[in-house]
Amino acid sequence: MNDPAQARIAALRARYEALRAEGQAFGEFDARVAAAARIPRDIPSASLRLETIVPAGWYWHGRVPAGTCLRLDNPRGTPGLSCLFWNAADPSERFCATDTVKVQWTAGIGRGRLLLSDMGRVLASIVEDTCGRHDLLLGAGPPRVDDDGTSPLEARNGAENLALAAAKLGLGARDLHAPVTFFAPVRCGADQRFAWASGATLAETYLDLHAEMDLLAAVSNVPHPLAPAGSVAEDVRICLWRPQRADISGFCRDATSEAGRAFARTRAYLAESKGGGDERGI
Amino acid sequence: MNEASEPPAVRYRRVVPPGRSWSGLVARGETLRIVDLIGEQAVDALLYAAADTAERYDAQLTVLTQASTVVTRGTRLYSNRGRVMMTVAADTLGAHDTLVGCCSAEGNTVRFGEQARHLHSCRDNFLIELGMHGMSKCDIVPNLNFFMPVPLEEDGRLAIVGGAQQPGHFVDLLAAIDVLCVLSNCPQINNPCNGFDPTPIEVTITSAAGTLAHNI
Repeated sequence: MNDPAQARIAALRARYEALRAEGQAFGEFDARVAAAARIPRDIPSASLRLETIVPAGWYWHGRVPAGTCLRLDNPRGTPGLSCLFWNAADPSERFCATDTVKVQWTAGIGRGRLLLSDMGRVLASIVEDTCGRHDLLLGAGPPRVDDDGTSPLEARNGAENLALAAAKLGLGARDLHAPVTFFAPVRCGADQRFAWASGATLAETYLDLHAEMDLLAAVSNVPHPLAPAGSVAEDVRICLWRPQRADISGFCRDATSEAGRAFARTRAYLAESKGGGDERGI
Repeated sequence: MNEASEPPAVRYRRVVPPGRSWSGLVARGETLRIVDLIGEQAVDALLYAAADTAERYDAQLTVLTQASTVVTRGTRLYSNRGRVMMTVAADTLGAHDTLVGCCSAEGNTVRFGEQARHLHSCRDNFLIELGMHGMSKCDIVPNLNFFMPVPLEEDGRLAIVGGAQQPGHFVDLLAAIDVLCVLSNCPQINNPCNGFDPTPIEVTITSAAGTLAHNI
């Protein structure tokens, strides 16, 4: 290895392979996450800030303040709940599905993982997830095309729902990015083909997303496009609640090196936003 | 292999140096060919409808419609309004990515640490190129990554693996509508997508007549 260029390439390759081995040590990740305390289904009424139902087929839009948990509760097993998130202080910063899977080395995003922004920061941590089956690759479903106006008014559309929710947050078509769809047990086989995993349990499952900065959120309750024919949406309960436990997402931050770096960048950004920034890392 | 299948009536030809960007209008019926001249070079691509750039490539809809991660010959590249923008008309490699987006200074810093902060990236290329067309960061959506296979494993894990090392692999994208194509010849040196050593690519646009004679 006398050639300096070859030596540089070899060093970069070795570093990448080391990061990959660490990032894909899922057994160690699982063990760290398993050690963290679980969040029960019942939210103490003193913690509750908002509680609302997203009816089957409908949408919700709202603000999730930093430090608050967004509870997505799926009592009757709606097959897919598509969500978009933005930084409330600067909605040009938004949920980035591609970085979320790439940076965390997995499309299997669940408890202990992060929802990352396009700016390399943490929008929210998944601090509880009793479902574990979510999709970041396939979207909220096709837009309505060539509709001659005779489709039933009650036939709702996921892409339209997200557009409507975003519009009511003051956002436009160019702010609509690739969503995450929770409660969507999509499997990809060795042949790289996607299919719905029909045996998965969706009913009575719930997630808690801990906002790491002030967020805008859009939610669409329409069946995932790969849900079996005849699947129908079910009402979903959304809550905002403020955890009493300090550092509730610390186990997410500490679960991987990538998470630690994303949190450090987020902390520095928020400190600077408040005018007290003494940490580099924007 | 490049010479033998070169379609006639090339109206535009340009070599894009390593790490640089390119954009151009590909009219309905024309074919954009991207050639990996040296080998193992990722090319990030975004597509916009020329008539209204709020209509743009939709990676999720593209993957959903074919229910497969693999972008290859026959893949229809959909817009967010459900229209086919381009079709992959030829592909010598067989697997391209559209799941993991483009590299950015911000993402690189999270993935690879502080030493990756001040490196050029595909997102910076896209921002520069989109700026020339009056667009900005919010116009960057999940893109195509040609010559960059990203196998998705059954347990969800995915990673960028190196592309083919042989020179001359190409894809042909046949435009179904007038499309503004924006490319970044990926500058990434922190993962295997460019063999840790970015190299040039070639872009050609073939006129509709030549395309039709060649492909049909």
